[in-house]
Amino acid sequence: MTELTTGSATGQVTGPRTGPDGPDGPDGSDAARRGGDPSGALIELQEVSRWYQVGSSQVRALDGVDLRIAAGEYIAIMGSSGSGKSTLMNLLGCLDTPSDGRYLFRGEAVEKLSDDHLAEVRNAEIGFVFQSFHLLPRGNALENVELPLVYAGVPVAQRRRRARRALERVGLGERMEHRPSELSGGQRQRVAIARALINDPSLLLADEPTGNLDSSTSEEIMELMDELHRGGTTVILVTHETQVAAHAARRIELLDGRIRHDSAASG
Amino acid sequence: MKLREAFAAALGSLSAHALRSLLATLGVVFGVGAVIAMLSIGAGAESQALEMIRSLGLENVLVRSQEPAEAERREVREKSLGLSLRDSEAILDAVPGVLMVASKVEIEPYSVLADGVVSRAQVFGVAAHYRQLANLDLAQGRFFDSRDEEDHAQVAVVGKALSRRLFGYRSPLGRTLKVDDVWLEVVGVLAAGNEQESFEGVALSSSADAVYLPVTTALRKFDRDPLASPLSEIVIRLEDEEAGPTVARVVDGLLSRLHAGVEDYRLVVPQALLEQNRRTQRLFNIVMGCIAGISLLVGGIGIMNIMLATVLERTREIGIRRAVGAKRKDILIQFVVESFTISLLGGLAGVAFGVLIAKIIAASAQWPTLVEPKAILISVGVAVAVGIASGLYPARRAAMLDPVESLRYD
Repeated sequence: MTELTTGSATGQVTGPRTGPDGPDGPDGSDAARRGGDPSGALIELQEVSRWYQVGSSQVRALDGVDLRIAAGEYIAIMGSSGSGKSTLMNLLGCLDTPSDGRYLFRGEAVEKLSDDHLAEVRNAEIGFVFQSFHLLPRGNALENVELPLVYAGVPVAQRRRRARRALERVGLGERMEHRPSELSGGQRQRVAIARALINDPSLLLADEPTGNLDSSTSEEIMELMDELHRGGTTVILVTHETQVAAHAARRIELLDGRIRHDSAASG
Repeated sequence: MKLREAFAAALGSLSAHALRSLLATLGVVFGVGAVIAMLSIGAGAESQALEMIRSLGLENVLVRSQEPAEAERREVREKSLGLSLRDSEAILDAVPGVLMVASKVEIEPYSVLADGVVSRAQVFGVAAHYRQLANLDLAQGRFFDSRDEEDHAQVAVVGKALSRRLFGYRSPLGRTLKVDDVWLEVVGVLAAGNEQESFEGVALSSSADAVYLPVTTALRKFDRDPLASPLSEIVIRLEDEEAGPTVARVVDGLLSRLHAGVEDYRLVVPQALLEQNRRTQRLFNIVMGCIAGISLLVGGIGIMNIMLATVLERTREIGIRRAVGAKRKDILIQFVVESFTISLLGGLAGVAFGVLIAKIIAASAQWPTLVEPKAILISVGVAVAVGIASGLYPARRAAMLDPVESLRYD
């Protein structure tokens, strides 16, 4: 049982739809899906837990989290290391599935999706930005940016065109043929952001996007994030830096796998 | 991801680790190279063998005289005179399925000369229709006929090389040569034929250095060791090519009776030799296949080893690809295509290597080699199959990696 229910994401009144309403059975889940959707929430977590088996003991990384996020929000998830924020990000990004509870992404129950289906959701709906950039060292900027389109089955010519546009959008029009090793940290992160944006995702997930950057470059990257948010992208930052979190409109703090504070709920 | 792109990506990632990829392919290169070299030696030997067996005549059965050991010679000859014209007549009369019989006697001359030129030569007395049975082709003139045979005519047909040595480039027709102390008139010259002297213990007569004269002349005009068998060979032409072994059995029974059980003759059935050659070849191919299989297996293990290392090293890359939407299938295909590419490149390099080895062997050991397209297709095909098979397990491991874990992997 969780004590904290986050309530509505954007202040709209939606009663906490948690509670044990028959977690199994197709009827119950359909009802829940229909119930979760009308508000237009992009993401809805209902009592989501994620635990890992380490030896004989069980580690609860997330413990009954309820969370609603509407499309277009700008959110910072904060917490010290071990608070469960990385686990939460992996779940939100459909890289992982909950051990218990429900995760509705655009009204669809993620925990019921097959591995292939999850890959399709990541490909079409989610853009990732990582602390250590996670670019493929052998490819140049263009090849890195077009990678999601390769798996979406987009033809080469169109892929190139869209990758160019995405790189121009993040201000890297001049360095498209450079390999990651020939780019500065800030430039690498811009390539990663361009890659995250190329499929026009409904959700941009950034895990410590400035963690490996100096402060002025960090500021540039955060301005880019702000800009993307203004352009209508839902942005979720995972960070432990308050300066970074300050850019977001809503701040969610995690502690020991639970939501300790949600600025949307408190005011 | 389309296969063509996966292939291009595989080439890219292989060239990024050129040395390692080279080492990974070496097993396959040597495997395929060895297979092709060995197959080409086998094929060369086989085609040579077939040619030689054909030169004996597949539609013939040969009876060859076998001289008894010196010590028991006299004793043997009291029972049996050895292969003789009587045998040849008996075979023609009594054995069913025999079309023609030609006798042949080898004379061991102490001198063969013409126009003052002395040369080494093999001298045979043969029946007139021997030419048909032994598939001898004439370049010039005629072969002696049955009249010459009846008349004990002192005529001869000579092999091409011998004719050149004795008479130079002038036509030898009408000229004379002297074998021991018998003068013979040259009436014909043979076309160049096969040069091999023996095959699997069966002596082949090389016609290039030969002098042929009528068998009757040979038996009458030349002194022969009285204890030697009168004929050295009887060639039997069959009515039915397939009947070789059967006719040989009947001939054996007949001769055994005529020779009072003395084994002073030997039957040669080219048909059976061919069959035996095929069996030998099949055995050779099986042994070859095993060796090739082992070397390609080793090559496959090499590829698997490299692929496992690659998967481990590229765990993070796999995580990144999974995060941006690669399915397990995509990762699987990526790595299988990569090991396929390694084995294909290795196979092609192996073909070049194998052909080179075959050429070197042909040039240095004077062995005939024959690189057949079949050998190339089979060896490359097997190499590629081995590559794919040994790539499957590492690729599957890559595909089953957890995206979260692999992103965190350093």
